[in-house]
Amino acid sequence: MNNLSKPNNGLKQYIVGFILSLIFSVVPFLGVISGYFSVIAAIIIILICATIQFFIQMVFFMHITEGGNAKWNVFSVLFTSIITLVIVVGSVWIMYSLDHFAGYHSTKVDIHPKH
Amino acid sequence: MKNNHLHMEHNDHNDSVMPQFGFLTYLMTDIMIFGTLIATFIVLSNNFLPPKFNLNDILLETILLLTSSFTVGLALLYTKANNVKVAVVWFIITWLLGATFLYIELKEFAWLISNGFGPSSHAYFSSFFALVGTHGLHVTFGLLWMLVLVIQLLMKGANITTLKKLTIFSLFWHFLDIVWIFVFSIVYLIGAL
Repeated sequence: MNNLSKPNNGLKQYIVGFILSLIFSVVPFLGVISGYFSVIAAIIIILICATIQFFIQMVFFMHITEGGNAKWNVFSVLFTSIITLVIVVGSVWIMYSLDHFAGYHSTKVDIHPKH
Repeated sequence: MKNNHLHMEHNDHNDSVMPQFGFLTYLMTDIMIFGTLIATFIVLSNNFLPPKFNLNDILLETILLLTSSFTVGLALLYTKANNVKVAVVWFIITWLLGATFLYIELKEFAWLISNGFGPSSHAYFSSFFALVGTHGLHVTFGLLWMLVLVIQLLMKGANITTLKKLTIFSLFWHFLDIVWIFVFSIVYLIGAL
């Protein structure tokens, strides 16, 4: 621990991370509010900005790429992200498919049966 | 005998990174929890038209939490520089930003519940309150944790122990903003399309 009363190292990282995060937070908001993009384009923009901001905050704020434990940190985060992606995308895909195909082979019930 | 190639690299690690890595591992399990809550929300939001969210409020919440993530970093830098007074000021600012975020969120919850959109009204809202509510609970716990640590910082000064605790707390606080990125993107932004 140094005894300077003013911090110097690391300050630049926080400022850069803050400004970048601000940008990638406001861009998707503007994209939605302006109504300029189609629904699918907007979703893609939103998710890409979210992912980019995720990495920005991980690197600049949480410093996972620094220090002696950097490789372990990065690997843990990457591994968890992949597993979580599988869970989220997989669940949504499966449930969407069920919803889409659920009625395909169902028996149509005639409520006014003719005898 | 140089037969100990198989010994874990951890023995060579500086012990000071282990608490942080352990806490990061916990945060990874927390990501799993939020991941499943998000998956549930997405599935249950299918074919449902959500009420009109006030996106200005959500943007304000986002900026508040993001700024608080920045200020907690500043507070940590000042703690490392042994400047307790300024560090505490930044911690208090962080706390106020987080508390304001929570206040706005609770106001939104109250509005939803009083307008018949409570957690028992529809599966969409069950999953909404589970996801956003769990994040809000984490923020609440973080505010309490911050309070205790700041008191400890004032009492004990900036030493190795308080620095370690504050570093770990800052990891938690940054993590909350990271989760919020996905919450506001998926629940509010995509929900407003």
